[in-house]
Amino acid sequence: MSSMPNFVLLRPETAADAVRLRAAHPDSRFVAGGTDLLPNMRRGLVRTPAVIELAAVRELDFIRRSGDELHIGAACTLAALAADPQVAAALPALSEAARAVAGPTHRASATLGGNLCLDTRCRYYNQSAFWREANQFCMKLDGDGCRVAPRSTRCHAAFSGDVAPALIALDARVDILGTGGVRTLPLAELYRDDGMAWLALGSEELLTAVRVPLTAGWQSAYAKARVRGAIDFPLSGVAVALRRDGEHLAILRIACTGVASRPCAIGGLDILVGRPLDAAAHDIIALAIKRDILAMDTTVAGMAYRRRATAVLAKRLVDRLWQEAG
Amino acid sequence: MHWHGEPHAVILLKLDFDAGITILTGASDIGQGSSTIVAQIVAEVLGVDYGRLRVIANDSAITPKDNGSYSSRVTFMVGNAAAQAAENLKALLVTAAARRLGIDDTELEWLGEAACPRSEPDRHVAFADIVEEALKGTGTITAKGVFTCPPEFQGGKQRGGAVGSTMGFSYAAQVVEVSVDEELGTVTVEKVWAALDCGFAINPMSVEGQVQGAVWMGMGQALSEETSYEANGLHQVANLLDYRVPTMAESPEIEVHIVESLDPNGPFGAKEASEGPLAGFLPALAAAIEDAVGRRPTTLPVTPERMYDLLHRKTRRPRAEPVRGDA
Repeated sequence: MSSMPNFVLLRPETAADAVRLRAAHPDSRFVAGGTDLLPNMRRGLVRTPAVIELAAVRELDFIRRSGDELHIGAACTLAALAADPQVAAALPALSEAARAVAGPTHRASATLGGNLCLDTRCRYYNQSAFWREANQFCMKLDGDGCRVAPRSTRCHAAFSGDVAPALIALDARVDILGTGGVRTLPLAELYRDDGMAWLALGSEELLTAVRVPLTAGWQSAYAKARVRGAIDFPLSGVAVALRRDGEHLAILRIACTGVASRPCAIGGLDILVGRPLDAAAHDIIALAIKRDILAMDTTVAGMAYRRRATAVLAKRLVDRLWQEAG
Repeated sequence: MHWHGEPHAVILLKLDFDAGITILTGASDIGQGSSTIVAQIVAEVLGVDYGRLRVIANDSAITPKDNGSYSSRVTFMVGNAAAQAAENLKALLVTAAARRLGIDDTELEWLGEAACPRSEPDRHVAFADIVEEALKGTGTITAKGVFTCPPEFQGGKQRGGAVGSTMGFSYAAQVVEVSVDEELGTVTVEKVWAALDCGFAINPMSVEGQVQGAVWMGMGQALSEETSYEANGLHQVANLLDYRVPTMAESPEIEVHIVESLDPNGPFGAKEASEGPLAGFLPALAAAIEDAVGRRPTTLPVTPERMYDLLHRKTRRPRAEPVRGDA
């Protein structure tokens, strides 16, 4: 890892100023905890003349209940999110996902907004400048073609944030502040299935908050496959939210991470509503996951293992939540 | 490196007017506690208070050369050199104490922080006064100790043999308890028992820590640490995120049993404390996995992916077949 390149540090105190600065410096980047951006800058993966630091923007650091929603500011640290009793009680998937990120020191500075906007990752991209040059680079930066899928015309780098699938399963929306004001969209719509352009964010836009519905009777959980119990990014991560109505499923939402260029909201689960969780239901879930995820060779661990692990984690979480709700 | 007869370890002791002793050693304390052991040995031989001792380690501008902290050689080799250096310094001090007391060296009783004539136990001279006597006409005193690994312990004439990598031949036994998640292939180490004949345990707490560290290092080799390469030769995991050293989350309870013996060549009978508990983890883990699932891994590390493949391999290997080759 090289030394930090030179850059201008801008330090706004309000979100509106942050967005104005971003618009005034088109090639700048926002930084909050810096756990993703700073290593990437030191590896030459991110080159920017100006960094807009959000630490002084206090208005983005909050967790508060508003009616039947929980509002969480983008600058809330993952440690604070993991330790919050309201989150743990009402939205366990979010709590578990925040706690599953990296190690304690990362979580102390990493933020919710940063984890949702995490750069996509690949074994051919997250390497030193020397390494990438020796490998003739790749389309995500400085080169042509995809090293993972040589015939591909798109980049397959994997989105590997833990928190996004939990929030997608919990049906969260995000507030995005631009120079023209705030827009709110479902979190799943923040992402695009493209390892090079995975965020549907305008160049001057800032993700400011997350709104999570507090729906009575929802059970939720998150689990990830990894080699070590800490630090590692997910080889596969699965979040499940469900509501059980007697012997029938009333709601089932599943989202996955680490197995595509965006966090995957698994589709086609609505047909299970009103049905019991039996073997046939599990078959439908497994098929839906297999259809929607696209684990590629982006990690040293093989893609076949990651696909199988995704199915195993989903089955376990669905079974567990179904039992707990019974 | 040592064919021409250079010793395998050298220690210098510097005694000055404040009656303090500076221990100069090239041995690197990488957390294993080698500076503590060297100080303990000097204090034990001289019988002086620890407050008189200061260790200055591995500053190549002022400390003697040392071969390094590897092969669990430091307690054995540097420890022997430290004991010899302390004996050499003690001989100078015994002479000075006898001179101060007006007696012959052979009549002196050395008490560590003082000395007296053997026949007159109440006529003490204090350590500070002994040092004052010793420094007359010479000032600061340096004493030296060396250790040379005898040729019969250097392992023959093969390339590298002269480095005398180890003389501490310890014996260790290890038991590993695992649980295996058969759907995800995850192997969890529940508990480890390690028993080690480390010779004489100069510092039992340090021995226990060394054994725990060795188990942990073996656990990394057995479960998660792996180097692999692209077809073009590029290292696939050339960073500490992808090269997976175990974390506290993987650390099991490790029960350490010290089985003491006396090694005729080691300092105070000590051997070493890390090689056996490291090497033993890998086969013990493989045996534990076989006991749990009926199949024995023969390729390490047993990552979840490799464990999954082992569990779902088509043909079932007979349980009695021994571990081969790469394990």
